[in-house]
Amino acid sequence: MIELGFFYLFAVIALGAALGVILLKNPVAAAMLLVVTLCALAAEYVLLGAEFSAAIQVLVYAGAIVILFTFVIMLLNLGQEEVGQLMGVSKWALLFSLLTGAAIILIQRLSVGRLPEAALSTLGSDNVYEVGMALFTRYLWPFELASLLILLAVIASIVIAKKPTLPARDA
Amino acid sequence: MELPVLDETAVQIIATVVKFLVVLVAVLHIPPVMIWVERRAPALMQRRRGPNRVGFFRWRLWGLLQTLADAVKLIFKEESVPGSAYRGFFHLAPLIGLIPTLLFVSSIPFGPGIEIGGWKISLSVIELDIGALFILAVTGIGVYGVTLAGWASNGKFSLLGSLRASAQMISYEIPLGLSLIPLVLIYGSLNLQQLIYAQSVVWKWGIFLSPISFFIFLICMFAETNRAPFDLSEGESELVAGFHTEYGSAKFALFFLSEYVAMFALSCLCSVLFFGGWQIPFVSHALLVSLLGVNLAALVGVATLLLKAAFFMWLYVWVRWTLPRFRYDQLMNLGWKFLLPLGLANICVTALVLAVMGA
Amino acid sequence: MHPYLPVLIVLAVALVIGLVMSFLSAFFGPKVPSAVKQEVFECGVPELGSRERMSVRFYLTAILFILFDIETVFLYLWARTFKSLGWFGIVEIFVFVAILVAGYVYVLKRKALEWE
Repeated sequence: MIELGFFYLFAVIALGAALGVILLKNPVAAAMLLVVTLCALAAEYVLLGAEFSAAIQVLVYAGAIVILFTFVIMLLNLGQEEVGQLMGVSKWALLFSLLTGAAIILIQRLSVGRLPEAALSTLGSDNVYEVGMALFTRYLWPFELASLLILLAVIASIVIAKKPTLPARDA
Repeated sequence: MELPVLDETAVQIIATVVKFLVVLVAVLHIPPVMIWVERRAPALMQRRRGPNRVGFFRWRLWGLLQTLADAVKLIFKEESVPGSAYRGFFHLAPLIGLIPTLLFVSSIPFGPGIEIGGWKISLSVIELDIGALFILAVTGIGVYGVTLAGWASNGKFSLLGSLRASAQMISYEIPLGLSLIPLVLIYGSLNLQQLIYAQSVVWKWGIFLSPISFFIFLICMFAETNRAPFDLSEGESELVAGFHTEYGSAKFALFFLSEYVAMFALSCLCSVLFFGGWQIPFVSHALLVSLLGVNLAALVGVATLLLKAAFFMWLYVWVRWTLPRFRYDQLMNLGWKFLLPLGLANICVTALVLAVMGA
Repeated sequence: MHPYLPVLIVLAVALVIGLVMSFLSAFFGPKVPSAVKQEVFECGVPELGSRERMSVRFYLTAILFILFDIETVFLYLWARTFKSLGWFGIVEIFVFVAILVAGYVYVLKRKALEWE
């Protein structure tokens, strides 16, 4: 019962903060609320017994990715009026997100009983160990592919940030 | 008088609150004492006197009360917010910096468990099986305090200082994370208390089994807290005071508090990971328990850990007054081009050695 | 007791005490604002503001941080299961690390980590 209470508490926090992310005009405030959303989601993971996922959620998403967002916001350092121009929600974006949301709900409704049960019930208390064992034996290939994905991301980020035609020259 | 019957959960919740309050009160005493040390020690080194006036009437107490006077002064100062600042975040930033460091220090196991009235109570406020990862996650969140402070102040010096500081902090988080992995390989656990139990004998201490990890960790300790020789974010000659240029009064004190709490937490973590935590070298805990009983032995353990941590706190001061400041490119090169490959190589070599020894 | 309940307790207590501490000066301190006092510090010259763009290197640092952070997480998983996996795990992780080291060498070659 208490766990259910905490579930709703964090759900409300996550949803409220997520709404703030979309609706607030101030980009840094939106980024900070994104951190709140991600941390609340991490709390939900903990309630599900997936403490490793929770740690990763905070470490990678809230700690690293949103830091990148804030850096970009601060680097661009837009004035208030420029921000205003960026923030208008276009009709297409609204339509697209509504359609996506509807599709997700539809898929979820249709697939009740068809998708495999969440593996959480098999997770013991030693979360990191079990996730690790699964990853390094059953999901060996996805894991190695992940490293290729990271490699691609490294190369892509540098290609974008540093103009390829210029010889490596620091501005 | 009959006490109401308490169940396990209620006892543990009460214990958690009490433990955290004790930690908090203890931690609040660190900045005054440490600032005193940081003024007196260099004075000693440079053959000056340092602050030695403030005291009670005739008793000057070596100037110990100077920092207390400073703290009181800070509280009674006017709080000035720059007109162009983003007010909400300007007020929130010190808090966002402080809370993660408090979470960090709360997850340090200060000693073995104690027993009160038949209830077993552990001496860490937060004890998690993924303790090491939790600490990494929490330090990651702590960066936002610095970032926000600079951005919300909306001044050149603050913004540049905060960008520098946060880029530095995230750059050194990676070697910090990598330096712990050999320990996990060796001891097979992420739980800090279990790591301490695994280092039951002196030659099993982390510093002997993985000296390179210790080397990396030590450098990261200084860089993560933005302390000398890596205190570029507040290089006075170029950036005034870095991200907290616009802060004064109690909020400035809060930044100070989080810096010193982070230093203390990292000092404790260093003792836990590499120096056997609360264990006294060559004296087994079982012997202590048989001599002193569980609770007294635990207190001795706490004192031991604090002593070990005190050495690293002193090291912070010592290094600050010994080494000159790095340049920013040197700092980034050290992190990305030296510590990162070194950390990776350290992990690979440790794994190979362990596998060969196990086979 | 749930092992994560203390995290919540610490958060709540720290939030309350932190809020009290950060508003101490607002209660006790004087309040005499003036236009000059509220200017951002600029070494004495008139306020110029902070509207200038920062170096792209900060952005590169942040993105590389994400990628190596993810790598660290995988290494933690492997380190925890190392004793059970043995040589098999070592081979796996060495392939993984080798691919990432290739990326790292590329980063070095493109001088993306150069600060001046």
